[in-house]
Amino acid sequence: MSIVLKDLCKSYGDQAIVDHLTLEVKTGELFVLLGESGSGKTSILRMIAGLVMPDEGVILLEGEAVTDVPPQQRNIGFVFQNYSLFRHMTVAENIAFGLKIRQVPRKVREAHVERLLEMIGLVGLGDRYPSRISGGQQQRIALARALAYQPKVLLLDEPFGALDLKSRVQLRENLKNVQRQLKITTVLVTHDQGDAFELGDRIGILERGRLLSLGSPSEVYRRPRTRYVAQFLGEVNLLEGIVKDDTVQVGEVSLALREETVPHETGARVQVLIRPEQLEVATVPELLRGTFLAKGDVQSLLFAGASYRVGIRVRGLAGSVTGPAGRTESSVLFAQIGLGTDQAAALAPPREVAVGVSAFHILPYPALRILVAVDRSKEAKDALQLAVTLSKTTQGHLTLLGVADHYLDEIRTKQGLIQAKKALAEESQEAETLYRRGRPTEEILKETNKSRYDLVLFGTRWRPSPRRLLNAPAFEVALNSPIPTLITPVPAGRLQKVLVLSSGEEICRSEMRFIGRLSRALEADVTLLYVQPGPDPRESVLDYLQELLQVLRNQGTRAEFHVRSGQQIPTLLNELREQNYDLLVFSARRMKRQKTFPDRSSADRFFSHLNRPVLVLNAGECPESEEPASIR
Amino acid sequence: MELINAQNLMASFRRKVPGLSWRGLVMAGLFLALFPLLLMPIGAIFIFATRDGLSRFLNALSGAAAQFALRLSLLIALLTSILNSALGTLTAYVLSKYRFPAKRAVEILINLPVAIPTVIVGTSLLLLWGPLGLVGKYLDPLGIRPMFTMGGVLLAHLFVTFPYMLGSVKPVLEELEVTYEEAAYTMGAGRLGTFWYVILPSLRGALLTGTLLTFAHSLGEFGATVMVSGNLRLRTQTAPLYIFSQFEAGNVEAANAVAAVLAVLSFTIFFVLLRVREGRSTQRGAVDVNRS
Repeated sequence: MSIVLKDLCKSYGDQAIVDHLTLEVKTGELFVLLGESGSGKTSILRMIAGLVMPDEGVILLEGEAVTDVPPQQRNIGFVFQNYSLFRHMTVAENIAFGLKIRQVPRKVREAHVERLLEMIGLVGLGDRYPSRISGGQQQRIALARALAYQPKVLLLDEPFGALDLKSRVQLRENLKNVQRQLKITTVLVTHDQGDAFELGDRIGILERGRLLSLGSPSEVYRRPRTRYVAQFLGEVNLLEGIVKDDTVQVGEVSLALREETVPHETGARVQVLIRPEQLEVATVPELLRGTFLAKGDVQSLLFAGASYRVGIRVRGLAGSVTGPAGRTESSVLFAQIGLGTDQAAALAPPREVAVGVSAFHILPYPALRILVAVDRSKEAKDALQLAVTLSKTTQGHLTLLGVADHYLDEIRTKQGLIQAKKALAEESQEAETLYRRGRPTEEILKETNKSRYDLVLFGTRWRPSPRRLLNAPAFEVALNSPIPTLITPVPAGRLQKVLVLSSGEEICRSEMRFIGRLSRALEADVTLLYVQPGPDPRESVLDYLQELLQVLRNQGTRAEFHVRSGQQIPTLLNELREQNYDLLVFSARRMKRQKTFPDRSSADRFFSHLNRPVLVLNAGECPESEEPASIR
Repeated sequence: MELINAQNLMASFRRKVPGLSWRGLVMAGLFLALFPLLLMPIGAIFIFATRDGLSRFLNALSGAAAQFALRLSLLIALLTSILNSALGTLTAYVLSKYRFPAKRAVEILINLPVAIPTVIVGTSLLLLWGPLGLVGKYLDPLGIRPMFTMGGVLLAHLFVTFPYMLGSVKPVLEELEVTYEEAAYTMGAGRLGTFWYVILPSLRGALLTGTLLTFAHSLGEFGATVMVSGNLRLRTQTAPLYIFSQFEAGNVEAANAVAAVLAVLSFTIFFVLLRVREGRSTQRGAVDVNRS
C-alpha cells in the first residue's frame, strides 16, 4: 500500500471537513476522490501532502508514518488547481526546480527536463515563460514539474478544472499515459464524473468528509451503495418495488433479480434504480428486447448529440424519477437511446409507447431518519419511547436534539441528552446527539431544513393554557417545518390504526407515500377520512380519495376510506374515539391558510381532546407534480 | 462688446473646425495651466544654471561643500534604499501572510509618515533623540548623540521613506497565491529556499520600483533633514540643504548648479520608473489575457 489514511479527521471551527476517513491507495494505482465542493476532498489531498495537519488520524506513505513530517520531506508531487507555475522562471526552470533544490548537477538537470518535455509532448517550449503558453500547456508543465524529482506519490487537485472540454479530454489521455508509463501511485481529486470514470482505477465518493462508496468506476456506477452515490454519478430513474422470491415487483410487473444484487428477502421494500441508458422504448411491447416495464406516452424528445433523451409519462408505476438535482416528477421516466432520424420522428410526443428494462440495480429502502427534540420533561420520554418503536420497525436513524435557550440551561440540556442516549442504549438503540444554543423553535426548524431527516418527533402535552400551547416549539415547528412532525402527548403503544384526515385537497402524493411507508413499517391499517359539510360528496372528491388510496395500496399498505358528513372537528373527534385510532394524520397546509383555528383556545381545545399521537404534514405548497391528478 | 465678439469668434471657429470642440479647449487650457506651473520652473533651473557658460557651472559644482553635499545625498539615498528594501519587504511579507490582532492598526500606523509633514517628523526625532530629548538626554552623558550626525539623517530618511517600499511590495505579495509557496514546499524547498528562489524573484519589479521611489524621495528630502542634521557644512549638509543655504546666502549660481544636478538625477529615476511600471503592466496584461 502506497498511501494509507487511518481515521483521518479535520475540522475548521465547528465544521467537520473530513470525518474519520480511512482509505488505502494501492501502489501504482490511479485513485480518484470524487465529491462536490465542500466534500473535503481537497483537504484530504492537502493532508497527504502535509500542507494541512490532520486533527486526528495517521497518514502512512509506503508504510512510513508521515503524519508529522513536513511537506518538504514527504517526497510527493503536487499539481495545484491553478498550477502555481513560477512566473519569473521559464518552463524549463520551473520543471527543474525540484531537482535544483535537490542539488542535482546542471547537466543532469537539463537532460532530465528535456526528457520530461518530450514525455508531455512540449519539446521546444523550455525557454518560454508560463504567461506565454496556453492553459492546457501550463497544466502539462505543472505535471512535469511535479514528476521531475521522481516522487513516491503524485497528487492532483482538480487538474482539469480550468480547461475547456476539448483540452480536458486530451489532457486526461495525456495524464493516463504518463501515469501508466511511470506506474506512479496517484491520487486525483475532482468533482467531475467524467474525469473519475475515464481516469480512475478506483473511485472513492465523498460526501461531507465521509467516504460513501469505493470501487472501480463501473462498480460504483452500476452498483452504487446509496442513492446519493447513484444520483451523484449520473441521472437515474428511481422506482419503488417489493421483493418476491427471485423477482422484484414494480407496479404490476415483476423483474428478475440477478444474483449479485444486494441482500434482500421476500417482502422487503426496495428502491429500483434504472439508468436512462438501461431503458428502451418501442412502439409496441412485442418489439422490446428487455423486460416490459410499463406503457406510457412520450412527453419529451430531446436531441442530445449521440443519443436522444426521451421523457415518458408512464402509467401504473408507483415511483418517482429523480435527476441529479433532486428534481422529482412523478411517473416520468427518462430514457437515453440512440435513434435514427426516422425512428426519432416516429416517437414524437405524445406518441404512446412501451418501455422496457435491460438492466437495473436495487437498493434497500432508505431507513427513516428521525430527529427527536429532547428536553427533560415526562413527555420527552414518551417521544423517546415512540422514537425507539419507530426506529426498530423502520431500521431508522435517530438524532437527539437538545436546545438550551439560556446559558444557564446549557448543562441541564446536555445532561438531558446524555440521559436520553443512555436510556436508548439500554434498549440497544443507537443515536446521535446534537446540542444547540438559541431559541428552541428556531434551532429545531433550522435543523429540519437541512434535509437530513424525514421526520421530527416531539413529546408535548397540550395544556389548557393557550399561551403554553401556541408558544410551544412543537406547534410552531409542526406548522413551519418542511418535514412531517410527529407529536405525542401521551405514552404511545403500538400504532396499528392510522386515521388520515383528508379534507379535499391538501395532501400531496409524496406525503401519501410517506404515510404508506410509515404505516407499512408499523404494519398499521390506514383509513382516509373525508368530512363533508353537505349530504353528497362531489365526484372529484371521490376521485381524489381513490387516487390517494391507490398510492397507499401500491406500497402494500392496507387502506380504506370513509366519507362522513357533518362538522369537521366534532366528526373527526367522534370517529377517532369510536374506532379507537392510534395515530391521527392531518396536513397543516390548509389549516395554516384558512386559519382553521380562529383563536388559540379553540386550537388548544381540539388538541387536548385528541390525547394520542398526531402526525402533522408540512405546511409548504405541494410541488405541482406531487399534487393528486384528480384535483389538478 | 469684446465678449460678444469673442463668442462670435468661438462659434465661427467651431463651425469651421468641427473636430475642435470642448475637448480641444479643455486640453489647451490644461496645457496653458501646466506650462507655467510645472514645466517653466524646471526649465528655469537649467537656464539659470547654464546661463553663464559651462565652465562657471562646473566651477560651482566642484566646490568642496557642493561636492560633499551631493555625495552625502547620494550615499544617504543609497543606504536608505538598501535598508528600507530589506525592512519594507519583511514588513510587507508579515502583513500579507500572517493574521494577528491589531493588524489593521499596524497597517495604518506604518503608512502614517506619508501624512505627517516631514518637518514634524524631524522635530519629533529631535524631541526623542536630541541632546535634550526624551531618550537622548540619557544617551548624551554616555557620548552617544544620534542627532546632528549622518546617522541621524539616515534615521530621518528611513522614517520618511518607509511607506514607499512597503506600498510597492505589499500589493504584489498579496497577489501571489498561497499555493505559490506551497508548490515550492511540496517540491522540497524549505522556507528560506522558497523565499529566496520563489518569493523574492517575483518581487523584482516591485522592489525596483520601491527602491527608485525611496531613492528619489531620499535625494530630495528637506524638511526632516534640516531639523535633524543641524545643517552642518561638510558634515551633515545634504544637497537640498546646500541649495537652500547657498540661495539664502545669495550664491544663486552655486545653488543652481547643484539643483540642476539633482533635477537631472530625479528625471532619470522618474523615467526609469516609468519604464519599469509600463513593462510590468504589459506583462501582467499578457497573463490576464491568457487566463481568460
